[in-house]
Amino acid sequence: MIKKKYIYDQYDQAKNRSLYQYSPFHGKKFLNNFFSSRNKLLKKVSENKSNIEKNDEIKFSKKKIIRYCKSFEIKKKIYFDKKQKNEFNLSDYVSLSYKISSYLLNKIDYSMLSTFLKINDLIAYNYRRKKIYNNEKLFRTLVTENLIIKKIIDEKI
Amino acid sequence: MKKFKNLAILCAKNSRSIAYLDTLKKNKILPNTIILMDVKKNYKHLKIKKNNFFNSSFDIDLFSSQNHINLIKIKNSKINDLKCIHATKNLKENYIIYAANYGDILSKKYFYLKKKFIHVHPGKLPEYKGSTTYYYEILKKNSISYSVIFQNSKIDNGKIIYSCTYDLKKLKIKKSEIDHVHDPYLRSLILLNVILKLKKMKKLKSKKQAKKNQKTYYVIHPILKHISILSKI
Repeated sequence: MIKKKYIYDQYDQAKNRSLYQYSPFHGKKFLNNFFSSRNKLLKKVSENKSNIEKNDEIKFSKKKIIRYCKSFEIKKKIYFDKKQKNEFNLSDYVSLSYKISSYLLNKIDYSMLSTFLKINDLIAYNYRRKKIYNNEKLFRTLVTENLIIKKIIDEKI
Repeated sequence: MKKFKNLAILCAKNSRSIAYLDTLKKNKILPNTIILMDVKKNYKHLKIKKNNFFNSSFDIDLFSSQNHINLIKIKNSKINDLKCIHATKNLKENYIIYAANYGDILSKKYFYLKKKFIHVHPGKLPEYKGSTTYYYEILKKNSISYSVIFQNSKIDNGKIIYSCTYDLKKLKIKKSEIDHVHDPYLRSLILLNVILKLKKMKKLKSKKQAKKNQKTYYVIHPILKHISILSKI
């Protein structure tokens, strides 16, 4: 049976490590479901936009972005340090995703884009559950994600 | 049919191993031994879809008994369990076709056994390492490539025996069936090519992968997978 909802932002990726493996094909409708799910999140984020608190600015070089993406794909978690003591919180994921979005706007890297979408699924999953300090960044990230995916769809399909 | 004395297959029952065995059988190539990891759990990737390319109901037990192939079944095991490593160690065959389950990665212990593990990787190496690379390649180039390698202890890093690229304009496939039908079938055709070469030459030439342009891909996000499947050819 074809699932009507976009499900990939409904699960904790760390607990469902095979979430993306052999994902079924649902046709064009699936793309609409994705946009609809992200738009709902976007609406919530925009409602909370006034609630902005200052977040420590983290610097992400391209090398670091690649390292963090790799870590996320393998461990489903990201740590600031190699000893794996200082783990990313939700706001850090938003900051990383924001940085990736600006990188992808200039140059499409499908591998990074795939990880970017997964990180945004994780943010969407956690949005209601955890505190976030950078709604503004998240809002801009989601808008950029929407733009990038729509552009690729226009080009490819 | 005569068995290929120097050839074994290390596999689980999945669409890939079924396609391999069926294609080899149709071309009168019989492995001397099959090590079969008999996994009970019904993973979604173990689903073998009915199709027009290979026999989805291929019966490994029947095939082995009819052709007097040595079938070693290892129940409820994972690839790196000692039982599997021992069974591989005791093989007389030097060349082993590898077709285990998704995510199974041979441990270093296998590479001390001095066997040659033949693996068909989806993607041109070293440019497309990792997983679901065909979807990425479709998005970038509208093609699908495969590389046959001798596996070593590093993932997708072994010496290249053979590689080829299919242009999707010429290859009439239903892209929504790549995972369970076309990928295993295309892999089996490329494998056949290599095994025929091995049979003829008795050994296989291979070359080291270039260090330049290496890129690793991870399981593609379903959105990109859908765009790849729905993309114009």
